[in-house]
Amino acid sequence: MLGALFALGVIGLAVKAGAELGLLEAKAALGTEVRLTPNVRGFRHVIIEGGEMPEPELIPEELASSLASSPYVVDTDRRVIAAAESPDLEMVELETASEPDRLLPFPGAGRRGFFIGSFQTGFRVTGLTRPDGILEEAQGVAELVAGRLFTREEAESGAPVAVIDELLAEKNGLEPGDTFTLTGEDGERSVELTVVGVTSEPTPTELSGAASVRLVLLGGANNIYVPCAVAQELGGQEGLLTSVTYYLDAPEHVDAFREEATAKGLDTEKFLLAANDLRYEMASAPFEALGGFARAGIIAVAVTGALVVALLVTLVTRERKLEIGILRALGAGRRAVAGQFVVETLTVCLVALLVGGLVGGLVAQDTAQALLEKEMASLHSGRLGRAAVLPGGVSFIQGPPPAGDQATPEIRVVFGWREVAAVLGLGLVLALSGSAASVWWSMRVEPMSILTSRT
Amino acid sequence: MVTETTSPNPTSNGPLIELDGVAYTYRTPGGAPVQAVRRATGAFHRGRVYAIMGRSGSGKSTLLSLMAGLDLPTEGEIRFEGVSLARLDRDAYRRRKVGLVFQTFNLLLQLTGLENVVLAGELCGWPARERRARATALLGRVGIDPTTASRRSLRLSGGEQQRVAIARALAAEPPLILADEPTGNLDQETGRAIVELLTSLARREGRCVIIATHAPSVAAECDEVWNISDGRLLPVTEGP
Repeated sequence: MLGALFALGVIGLAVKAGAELGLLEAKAALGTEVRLTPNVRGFRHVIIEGGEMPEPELIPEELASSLASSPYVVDTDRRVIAAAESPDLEMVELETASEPDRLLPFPGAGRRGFFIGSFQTGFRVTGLTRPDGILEEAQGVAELVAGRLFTREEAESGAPVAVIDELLAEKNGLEPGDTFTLTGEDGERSVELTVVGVTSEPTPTELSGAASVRLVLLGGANNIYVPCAVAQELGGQEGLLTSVTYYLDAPEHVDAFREEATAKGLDTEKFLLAANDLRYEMASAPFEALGGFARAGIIAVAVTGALVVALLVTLVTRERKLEIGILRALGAGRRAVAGQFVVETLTVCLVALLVGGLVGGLVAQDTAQALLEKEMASLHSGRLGRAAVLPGGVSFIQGPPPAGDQATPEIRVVFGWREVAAVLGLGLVLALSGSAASVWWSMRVEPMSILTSRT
Repeated sequence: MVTETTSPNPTSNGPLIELDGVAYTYRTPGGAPVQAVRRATGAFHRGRVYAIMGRSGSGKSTLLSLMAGLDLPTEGEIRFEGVSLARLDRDAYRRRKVGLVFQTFNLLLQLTGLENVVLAGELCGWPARERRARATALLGRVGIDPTTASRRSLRLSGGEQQRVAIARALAAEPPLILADEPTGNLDQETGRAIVELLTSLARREGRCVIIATHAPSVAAECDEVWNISDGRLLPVTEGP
């Protein structure tokens, strides 16, 4: 039984260590981007309660530049979302695999810079300063099928160029080099744009669940990528940005960057500075849940183990009262008898530790992976299935995503010095518990009552 | 049989152990007080065999346990060589001065006969290298051959177990042997042999042997007989 307890303890520690490693890796993979967005979280309550929608405050370019001057920042992507119509272009009709009515309204819908094109009458125009972001945006599944992306210089200077979707290009017979006109929501501002590139990404009907919803909300084929300044002009929001992504030199500088931003006067009531929080949360949630489960398991093993060992030792010691009485009659002192029981308990614990450690070590990897898969399944059908996020920090709620949307990550259990020390600590807890019980009970035995058969 | 003899301590003319108004009261698990021994007084000398007779529950075992220093009297005093047990290290006293023999033998049954004696020798400080040889020799003195001694105690007969128990009691060559109903679980013939062995420890080796018994045949072999009744100790006969 002790061996089984130790095996459970070792598995728990290994799983915990594996979960911590998974968290570190998730952080390393996702944590170098920090996104600055208007704070619209509080709007959710306004929508639910039916109050008047407040106007979200866009990000002043001065603020964005101030934060970009941080030594941790290696690159930035300034973005503006605008609505536009076109006298030249016909929109692509989109359908989602999910039921549109499952989508709940989200903060800022229909507002300046926050609307989603597919639910408006016009195009969604995404202005950006980092052209590589065009292919990264649709979960990395988009590809350039004709022409090129606009250059960094074009993006920074606000050149009248555009990258459009293959479906939109086909529908309107556009190719790289062709031009079209976009008109701002107010109908007063127009820009003639030259198509420089055509991208292809899956249609919403080719995707399912969360991915299709996400694509529709991004505008799908009706989303047109332009330099940031062009979108600002179309939207009438010169000097203002919808979001800024800061690329940091190392994930461990995220917190320092946030502190620096706060020191520079970032108003957290108005703006959010999030380090891929939800993506990180989604990636880290199973590891955190697993780590928490493992921690609880270790505590349970330690507490249960201590109680079980103490109980077992108590029973054994009480069973051996006659032996204690005989040893005392032969002249063994109380301490000597207690010492013998302590040595026996420690020996049993040591053997159990070795056997349990070996068994636990052998099955830890498979157990950890199985537990992680269980956590993933549980999270998919539970809370994570209810939340997703859009670039710009806008969140919405939806049904559970399909199982294929998120593959179970690999967990790698590790046995470092810390785990070895923890296992030894666990052994010490159990051994001390057992020893204390053995000392207590052996010291309480009165040889006279035992040997004269009074008890 | 005991083959080695030791002389009584010539410098000790007084009693080896004395009871002076000894009383002992204990409480039952229910909390009720029970007075097992009432104002017992007596003196016991080296080289003599004493029988303490009495019915079951009369206080014989309690009295022997008190003399063994397993507990202290609630009243009165027990003196060993003139020194109160209350002033002695009673664990050391049991290791060095007293040999205990029980009706139920009280061997550690998971050990062999030899190991039981070795354990007692270890407690009284035998050097590790000598333990097995000394234990074997001691067992030989009480009539246990090495083959028998190498068997687990559980597999020994009652008489063999009691002989091993006597050998164990002799590990420290104690001057006082306390035997509580040593023949109670033995047949008549084996019992007689055990009594003979115990009496020889007094008469040939000069030890003080006190036997608690309710058997008149055992008492008849002793030098003095005391009776304990209702916790009171009274001399009955004085032997030769």
